[in-house]
Amino acid sequence: MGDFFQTGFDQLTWGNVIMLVIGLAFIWLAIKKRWEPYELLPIGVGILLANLPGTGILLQPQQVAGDAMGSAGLLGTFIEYGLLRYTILPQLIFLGLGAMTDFGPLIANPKLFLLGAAAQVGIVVAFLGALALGHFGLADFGINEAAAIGIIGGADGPTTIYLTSQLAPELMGITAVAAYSYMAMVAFIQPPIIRMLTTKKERETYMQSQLREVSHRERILFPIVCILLVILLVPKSAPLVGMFMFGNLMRESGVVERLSKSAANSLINIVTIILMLCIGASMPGDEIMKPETLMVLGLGLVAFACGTAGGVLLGKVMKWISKEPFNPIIGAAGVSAVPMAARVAQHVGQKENPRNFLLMHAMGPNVAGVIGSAVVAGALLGYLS
Amino acid sequence: METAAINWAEAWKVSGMGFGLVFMVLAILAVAVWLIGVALRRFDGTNTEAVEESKEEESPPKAEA
Repeated sequence: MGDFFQTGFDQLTWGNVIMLVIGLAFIWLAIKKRWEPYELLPIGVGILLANLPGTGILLQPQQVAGDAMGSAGLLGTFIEYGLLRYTILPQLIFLGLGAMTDFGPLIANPKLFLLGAAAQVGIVVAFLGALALGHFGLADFGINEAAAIGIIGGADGPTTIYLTSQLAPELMGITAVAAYSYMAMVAFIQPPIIRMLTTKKERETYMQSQLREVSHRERILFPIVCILLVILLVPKSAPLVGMFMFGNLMRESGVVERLSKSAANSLINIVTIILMLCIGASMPGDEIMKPETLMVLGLGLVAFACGTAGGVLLGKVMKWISKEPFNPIIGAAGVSAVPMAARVAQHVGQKENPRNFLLMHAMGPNVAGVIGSAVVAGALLGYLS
Repeated sequence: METAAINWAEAWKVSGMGFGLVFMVLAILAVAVWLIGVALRRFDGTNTEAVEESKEEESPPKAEA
């Protein structure tokens, strides 16, 4: 009889209670403020489920003894098979993203690729910062943890989850939340950095509003060339770049419309639900309530800021070299965070000069940044795993 | 907390090589995409000209007054 009335109250820790409050705050932010609702709502529910004691919902199949069939929990099974053992969930997200991405602005002006590369400097700064914290005994970060923290600067949720789940799974929840939270906050993070690094005259620069027309053949060849070149140069980037470009080829080929639509809608939505629940569930109170969590959040912010600065500074160099008018603001979009960072560039540019329409120009570095962060993730995996 | 033993030489190598690699890969992609664009535009241009020329050839001669 006593067992029948077993409750979770007596097993609740302060860590659990704080995380429950954070989970409720995420749900509130998603519903009331509409902050990244597709991510924060399932993450919030995942946090609630992970911090309610005695459920067994996080029990992974590998933790269950052989004769205890059916004992593994739902979220534990998703986490083990979708993230830790096979890492398929972020790759499937990339497939959907590819089917949703228009590479036209980047194909029309390929030099914008370089802005996507420059903005990856944030990853390097956060990586070295995390190692410095470990060096001075402020945190227990080794080289794998530093790489997982640094990739937050790629401003790409699935890439962050993919790399962290393989190099430092214990940081997966917090790095993913940091990446998605800062992506939601680019409108607050980037403008002061852009203003600090550019003059008013530079921000006012008017760029030709029309990009050259990109042919259907160019659009089809682009994902094929990316698959061949990028994967030959960085083989470990294949899971992300391969899925991203496959999704894009389905979109641009125009011959598999049903598949393309499924990848861009049903598939990405289903995987988002599972992936974000898993991310929330990767944040049990006893693992998150540590000073290192605040350091990860701080380093993530530094990574975003430095990535923005890197893109803008290269933008200034390109403005100096370029024969045509070039607005360095668009470099800030190189941090990925598609399409929010491009919208920020458009907003800041138009505020300075109402004639400016930078959105299409900013979309170039924006999608180049996605490829760039996948390349960095592949390179780090190749070296460290 | 104890000071973690960090191999800074390796750390700088990972950072430098990683950042250098992403620049190199994206620069190669930029050149490849630009070359493909130029080649296709030339090919399409030639094709368009050829089509126009063939159309001109096929069109019946204007009746002379």
